[in-house]
Amino acid sequence: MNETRTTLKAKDWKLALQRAFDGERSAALEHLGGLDEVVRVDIANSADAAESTVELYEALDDIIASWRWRPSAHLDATAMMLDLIRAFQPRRGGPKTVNLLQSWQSGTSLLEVVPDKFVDVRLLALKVLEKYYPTPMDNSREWDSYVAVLYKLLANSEQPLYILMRLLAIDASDCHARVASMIATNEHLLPILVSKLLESDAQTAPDDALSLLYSACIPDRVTEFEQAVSNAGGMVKKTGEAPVITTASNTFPVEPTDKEILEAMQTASNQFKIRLDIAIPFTGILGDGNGSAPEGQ
Amino acid sequence: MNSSDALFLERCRLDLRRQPSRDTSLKELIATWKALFPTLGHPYAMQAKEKGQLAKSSVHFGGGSLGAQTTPAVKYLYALTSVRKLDYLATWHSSETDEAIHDKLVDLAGKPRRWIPLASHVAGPLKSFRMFTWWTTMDVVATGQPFIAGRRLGLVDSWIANLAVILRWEIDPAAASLHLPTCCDAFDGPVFESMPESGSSGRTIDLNCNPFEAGEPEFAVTALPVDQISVYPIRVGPDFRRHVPPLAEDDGTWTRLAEYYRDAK
Repeated sequence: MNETRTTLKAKDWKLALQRAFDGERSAALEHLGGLDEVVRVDIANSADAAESTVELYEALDDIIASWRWRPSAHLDATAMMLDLIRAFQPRRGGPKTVNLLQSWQSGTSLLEVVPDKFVDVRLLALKVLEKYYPTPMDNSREWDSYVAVLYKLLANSEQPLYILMRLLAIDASDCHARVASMIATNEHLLPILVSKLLESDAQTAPDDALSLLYSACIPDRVTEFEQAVSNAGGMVKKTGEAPVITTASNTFPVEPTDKEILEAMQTASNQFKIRLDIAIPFTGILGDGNGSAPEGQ
Repeated sequence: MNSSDALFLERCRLDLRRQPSRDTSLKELIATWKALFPTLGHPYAMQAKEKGQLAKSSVHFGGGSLGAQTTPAVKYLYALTSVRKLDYLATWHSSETDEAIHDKLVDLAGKPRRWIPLASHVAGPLKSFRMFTWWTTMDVVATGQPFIAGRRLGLVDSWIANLAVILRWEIDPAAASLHLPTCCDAFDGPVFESMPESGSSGRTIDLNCNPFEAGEPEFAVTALPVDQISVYPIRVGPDFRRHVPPLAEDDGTWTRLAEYYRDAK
């Protein structure tokens, strides 16, 4: 029995983490839940927590530098690595996680972490990146790569709820036009996105994400949006100024999220005392930018 | 034979001495486990997926505690766990990092720190895939030393969370049932002393002492409504740990534990 505590050096960490990836720390993982917490506990149990932490970062930098994600890699090892990156944010973790998402093919990313409890590893990777790139960065290739990977995943209809919400938060000035363009170039995308949003069991209601899609459909594709909702088992009701989507279990208001669209609608509404709903073609309002009424109003 | 294999054998011998009525169920459970994982020398290295397979294959492992029902003469039961583990037993509303969730709980618990309701932070009920969770009568908060308390509950150092949460349930027999833990309940854990089934509770092993000693009363409890549970967050960092020699998951510990089982009547 070792009667003294030791400081963990970088080589000790590399060995300990490799053993965890290989499934050799199952008891600690079972008790603590995740590798990041196992590492916190190892630090707390060491002789010198500060030095062990510094050595951990050195080890993580080396491990991440040589980390090559392969489609055949076990999801649980990938999830463990992402847990570590999210918790400790080592220097190279962000770009490496962007690479991971860029090379990740479509297909399941659900991992059963304990029986009957699943984690979506792709979503975990996206949450890792949220830590690295919380706000836009000027003239940053890293930032551009991050935003590009969000749009790429959206084009593949991966994690649409998370990604649409994230785009609204970080790329609000451009996202409506870019999403509209994606929908225009891929006729299958809108129905899939709407269906996934309405199926979502996430705690975040999909109102804002649906509203972004709705905005991206104004003015030419509103009917397609309604059809997509209908195909997914919902219905668009136009009872007030903004439409409402109803499904068997939920009701979601959808309002245009693009500021210019909203302002144009409000201007038109005030000027001509009309009641707006999505059946009104907005081409005229948006077309000349002067707030003049569409023909016939 | 390595130390873990030897530990498993000693555990089985003690299990059958103390809980002879479990003879058939333990043997059936071992046979199922062996059939599923013929290369494993002991069940303590099973990973989550393997435990899930075993739970689906054996009612003795996945069917909930079959120990005798009991009701201790105390008001509260307690459990020591981690932020992440709790996410597997219930589900945090927040999708923030464990550290952020823990910081938030600490903030809400105020100064001086107090128990706060768990229900506003997780979706319940609190349950595991094995249909029960482990609880004790020892008030971990009142000890003032959660690390020593964790060892007293049979946890080696690397199993005691840093981002720890202590749970408290005000016993309500109408809401959940309490069982005297059986050797099958603890089949996958190396640290467990089977107690005679005529008793009123199980008992942890206190790992603070050398040799190890009897610890605190423990129970296997069925699914619990989270609105009956309070939570007390605490960081069990280096300051709590550095004053005592380490106790690792290693051959030395398993050998001492095997001696404890061998010497138990």
